Amino acid sequence: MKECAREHEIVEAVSTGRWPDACDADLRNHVTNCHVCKEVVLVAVALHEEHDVALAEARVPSAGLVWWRAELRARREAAKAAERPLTLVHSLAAASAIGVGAALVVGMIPYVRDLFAVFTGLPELGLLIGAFVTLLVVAPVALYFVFSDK
Amino acid sequence: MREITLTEFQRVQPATAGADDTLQMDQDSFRALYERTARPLWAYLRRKVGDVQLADDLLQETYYRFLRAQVRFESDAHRKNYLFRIATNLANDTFRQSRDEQLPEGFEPPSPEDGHVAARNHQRRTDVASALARLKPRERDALWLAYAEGMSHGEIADALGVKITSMKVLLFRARQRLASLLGDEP
Repeated sequence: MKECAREHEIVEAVSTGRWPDACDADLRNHVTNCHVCKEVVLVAVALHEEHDVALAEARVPSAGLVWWRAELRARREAAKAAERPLTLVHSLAAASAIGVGAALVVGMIPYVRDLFAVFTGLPELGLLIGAFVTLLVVAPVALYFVFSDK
Repeated sequence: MREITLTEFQRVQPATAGADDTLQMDQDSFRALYERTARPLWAYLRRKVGDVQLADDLLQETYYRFLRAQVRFESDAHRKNYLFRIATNLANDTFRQSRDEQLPEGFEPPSPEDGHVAARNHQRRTDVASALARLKPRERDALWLAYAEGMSHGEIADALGVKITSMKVLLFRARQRLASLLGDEP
């Protein structure tokens, strides 16, 4: 890997616009004799021109706008982070409600079955009604907790 | 672009006292840093992603992540390198998402203007663009930071997140390749 101690001088001369006319004759002579520096000049001049064109095209928003957007977003994210424990409590409450509802329904099944067996003698109907009662109790609670955040 | 007034800002700011909404520098310091770095950073992003709108979005995201970073900066150069590092990672993530590591549109030269000089400049930019297109993205980034931004090897290594020894080798090879490609152009 060949390097030359004067590479930095050349890059600086190109980036400050001193290359080739306004820089030392000594540096110019060096470049004509140094293979590495010739390469550096070729690449540095090409990229410096690209850079100038890119900077001329640059239309950046004002610092105030970028700052304002950043502040707004930071506050929004902080608010979201602050709400996170509440969401956890909501989820736990929803899970508990569903569990309690399910336990109640399961506990009620024998009574409901007995009640309907008297009339119809069909235990399947009791199960069906039990499921319906479960739906009536659990669904509104679950829906409430699902949509309450929004 | 229009500046935001304090009243407008206060009107939209939500009340979230107590939550961690801090930015790591004050507005005046940010303004000074932004004035120094925004245009070169935008040019870097524009060249890297090849799309003006995307470069705008990534610029905003870069400064946001910078402002939220819990990093103790030693100098302005360190801040600048860190900004370029965030920008590089964001642009690379964008490429990874789109699975498109081809030459970005940004390398397409502008349409030729009238006149001999303009046509010659256009031709030269076309040559440079097509030569750059034949390099790997990381080689292009390293060359850009070294010769367009004037960063040192250490700063480039810092900005691209690689070891300085690897950076020297990468930069040397990339420069050789680009010089050879530019030398071969008719």
